[in-house]
Amino acid sequence: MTAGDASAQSIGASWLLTIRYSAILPILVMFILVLVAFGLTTDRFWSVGNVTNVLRQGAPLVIVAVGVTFVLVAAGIDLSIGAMVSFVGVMTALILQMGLAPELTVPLILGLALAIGVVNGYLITYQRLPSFIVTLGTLSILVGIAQLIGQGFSIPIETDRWLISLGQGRIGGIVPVQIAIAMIVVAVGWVLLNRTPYGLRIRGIGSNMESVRRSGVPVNRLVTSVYMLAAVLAAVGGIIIAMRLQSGTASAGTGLELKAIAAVVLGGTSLFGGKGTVVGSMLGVYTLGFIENGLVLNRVDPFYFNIIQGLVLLVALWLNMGFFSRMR
Amino acid sequence: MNDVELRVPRVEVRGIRKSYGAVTALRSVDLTVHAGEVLGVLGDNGAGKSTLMKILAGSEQPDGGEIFVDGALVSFSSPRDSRSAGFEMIYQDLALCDDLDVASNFYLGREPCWFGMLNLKRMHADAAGELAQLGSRIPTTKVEIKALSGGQRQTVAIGRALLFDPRVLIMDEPTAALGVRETATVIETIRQVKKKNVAVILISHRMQDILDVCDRAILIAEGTDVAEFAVPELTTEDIADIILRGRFGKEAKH
Repeated sequence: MTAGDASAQSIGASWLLTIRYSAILPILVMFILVLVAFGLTTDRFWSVGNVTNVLRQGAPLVIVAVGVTFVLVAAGIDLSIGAMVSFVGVMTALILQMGLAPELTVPLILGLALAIGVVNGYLITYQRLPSFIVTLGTLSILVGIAQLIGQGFSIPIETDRWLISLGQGRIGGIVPVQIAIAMIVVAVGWVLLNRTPYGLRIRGIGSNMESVRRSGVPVNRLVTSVYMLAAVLAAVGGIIIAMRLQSGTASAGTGLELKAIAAVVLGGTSLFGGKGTVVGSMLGVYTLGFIENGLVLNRVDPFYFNIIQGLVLLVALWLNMGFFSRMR
Repeated sequence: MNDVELRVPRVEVRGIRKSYGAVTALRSVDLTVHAGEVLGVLGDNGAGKSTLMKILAGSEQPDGGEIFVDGALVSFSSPRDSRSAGFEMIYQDLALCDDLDVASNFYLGREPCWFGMLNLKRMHADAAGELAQLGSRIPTTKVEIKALSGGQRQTVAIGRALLFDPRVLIMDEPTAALGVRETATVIETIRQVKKKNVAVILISHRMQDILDVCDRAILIAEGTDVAEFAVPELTTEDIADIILRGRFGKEAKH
C-alpha cells in the first residue's frame, strides 16, 4: 500500500465520521428537498422578492431559536420565550411612549429580559424545580403583564428611524437588517457552542451533568446562563417584531415557543440534551418557513399549515432518532 | 521502621468525619499514602468508602478532620481545589459524557484555549498520545463515548486522569465492570503509574486487585478505619475474612 492510499483511506474515514455524527444532515436534505419541490411546482417561488421575504419573516424566529438551541442542549426547556416576545414588544412600546430615549430603552429592555432569565435559571438550578414548570409559570406571568399593560389594544410605536429600521430597514437598500442580525446571531452562536469552553461545558452538562460538576465546573451558573441567553435573544426577536409591526401587541409572540422548539428539534438538536446544532436550528426555521410560503403560493387553506408543520416535525424527529441512531 | 515511614506522606488524612443529617457516613478515618505506593481501601457496601472518596475529590466537604498533602494542611471546597492539588479521580461510573467525543471528555473543565477558542488540534493530539501510551485500540479521539465498549470507556477515564500528571490517583472500583483482559490492562496501568511516583488509592471489592497491586490496605467499617495490613502477607481468604468479620484473624496471633 502506498502512502497515497493510506491518506485517501483516512480522509475517507474522517469524511464518513463527519456524516455519521452530523446531526445537520437530515434537515439539510429536507431543506433542499422543500426548495426543489416548490421550485419545480410553483411559479415565483424562486423569485428574489419571495425568497427575501421568507428569510426576512423568519429572521426573528431564527434569533429566538438560537437561544432555544442552547437551552435544549443543556437538557432544559424554555416555554417562556414566546411570552417574552410579547412582553418585550408591549414594554418597549410603553417605555417609548413614556418618552424615554430609544438609546436607553433598548438596553433597559434587554436588561429586563436578562433579569427574567436569571429568575428562570435560579429557580431551575438552585431550587431544583423542573424547567418545564418554571418557564410555564414565567410564560403566564409575562403574557399576563403584556395583556394588563395593553388592555386588549396594541400600543403604537413612534420612534427614531434607526430603531424602526431593525424591523423594516435594509442595509444598502438590499439586505434586510433583521436578516443580517439573524446571521450574526447564528454565526456567533455556532462559534460559542462548538468552539469555546463554554459551549463544550454546556454540551457536557446536557449529556451528563454530574460528570461536569465533578470536573470542577460551576454547573449551576452555566445552566442559569442558558436561560439568560434564551431570554435576551427572545427579547432581541421581540424588539425586531415590534419594530416591524410598529406596535407592541400582547399576542405578537403567541405560540412562538412551540414554533421555535419545533424548528430546533427539526434541525437536529436532541430533546434530551448533549447535542445540538445552531445552523440546523436556522435551517429548521427556514424549512418550516418555506413550506408555509409554498403552501400560501399554492393557495392551500391556511388551516392546513399547522397540520402539515406538525407532520413534518414528527417525520423529522423519527428520522433523526430512529434512522440515524441505528447507523451508529 | 522502614524508610517509607520516615518520609512525609504524599497524602495524610486524620480523623475525617462526615454526617448527612442523622446518618453518620464517616465517624473518623485516618489514612496515609506515600508517593509511589498503592493503598487499597476495603469495606463492605455502606462502610463509607464513597463518602471518603467524595471528600478527597472535593465534591463533599468533611464536618471535621484534616487532610495534609506533602505535610501541608489543605482544604478542598470544590473539585477544582482537589484537582489543582494534583488529585485525580477515576469514578466507578467513569463520569464520562456520552455525547462528547474522546478528546472533549479528556479536557472538559480545563480546556486548552487560544484567544478564548478551544485548541481542538492540541486536544485531539494530546488525547491521542495519552491513549497510545495506554496501548488503547480506540481508532480516533473524534469518536463519541457512546460508540465505545466498556473497556474502551475505562481507558478513556484512566487516560483523562493521567493526562495532567497527577500526584495522587484515586480509583473507585476501576475493574468492577471489566472482563479479564481489560482488568489485566488496568492492573498493569496502575503498576506503571506507581513507577512514576504517584500515590494511588484503590477502592476495590475485587480481592485479586488488592493482592495484585497494593502495598498496603486499610479496612473501613461503620465509618471508621478499623485495621491496616501489609498486603504481601495476605491471601484472598484473609481479605474475605477481613471484610466479613471486620477484622483480621491473624492479628490476634501477632
